[in-house]
Amino acid sequence: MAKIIVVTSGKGGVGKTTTSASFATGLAMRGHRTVVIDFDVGLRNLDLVMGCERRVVYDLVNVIQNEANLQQALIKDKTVPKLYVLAASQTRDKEVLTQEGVKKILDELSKEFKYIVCDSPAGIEKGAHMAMYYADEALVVTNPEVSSVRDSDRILGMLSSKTGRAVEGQEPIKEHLIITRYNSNRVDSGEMLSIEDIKELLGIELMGVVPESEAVLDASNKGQPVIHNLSSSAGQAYTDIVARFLGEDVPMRFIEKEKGFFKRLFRSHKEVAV
Amino acid sequence: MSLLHSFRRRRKSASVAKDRLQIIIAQERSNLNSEDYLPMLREEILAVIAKYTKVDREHVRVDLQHRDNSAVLELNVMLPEKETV
Repeated sequence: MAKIIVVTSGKGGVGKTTTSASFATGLAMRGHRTVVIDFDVGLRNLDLVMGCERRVVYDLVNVIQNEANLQQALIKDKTVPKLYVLAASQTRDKEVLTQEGVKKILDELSKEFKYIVCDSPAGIEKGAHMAMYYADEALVVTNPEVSSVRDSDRILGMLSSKTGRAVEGQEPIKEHLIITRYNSNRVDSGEMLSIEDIKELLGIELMGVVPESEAVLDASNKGQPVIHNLSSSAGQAYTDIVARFLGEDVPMRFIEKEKGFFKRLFRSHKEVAV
Repeated sequence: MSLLHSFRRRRKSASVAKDRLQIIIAQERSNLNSEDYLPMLREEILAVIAKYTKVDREHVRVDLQHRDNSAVLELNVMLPEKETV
């Protein structure tokens, strides 16, 4: 059985697709058969970020509506073996995503893959609901900014009440917080919500912090997930996130102001202890 | 941290953000968990009480609590001292 992970946030533009692309790529780079699915029907973009936009022939909706089979719709990544992309449809509206149709696809993919990463659209409508419905775990992508934190809390409410696991009374979805576009210098000067603030507000466990990085735009320009760029802080942060997801104990990086690292590290430990 | 903050004349915007979020998130969580009719019920009860007494809106609390298979509607009104109309 595959593990299904939804990458969600509520708010748009916080880094869901960037995170989905790098997280799925990272899992495959670690040797796990992984497929990443774009649930943003009508506004697909995962194909661009993954660099496979010109190879999309069939998509998620074609498979749901039996116009193509999964093997025809799965796009094999050019550089990472064991990594596949399932694109969203660009022309139809989200209402074509049905619970039964999504279940059929996920069941079929479960036989072949170890991890299924679902890239959720923004909002709390049908597409977002379908992306999270069958999830076992959730990566909640949040920016250190008021509207993003508030929307993430709404999404946490949906994860705990409107998903298959919630409805059927199974063990709840495991929720992991991913903070993106973090700027430790601005946090230090009191201009940006800190990691501790966001953790306290949302009350879920932190899986990683991705610093604001020029490499993210550069990566999407080229269609190469930023995790390939290991000289960038964002690439390293996603590598750490994948390792933590796989159960490894990796210390958090990029969370301290760039100067006086050890002094601040010591202080943050004291704060945690209180 | 909070001690440090109180010594500063102007609060940093991140701490304002956190306070605002704490309030709105708590409010939205309780709205999602409550029954749909509760806000209306509260307004109508307030209107009835206001007909007979001068009571501060802050001093009327309407809560619905679920216990196992039953629900308890709790109405808590603090009347002003000797000030009936």
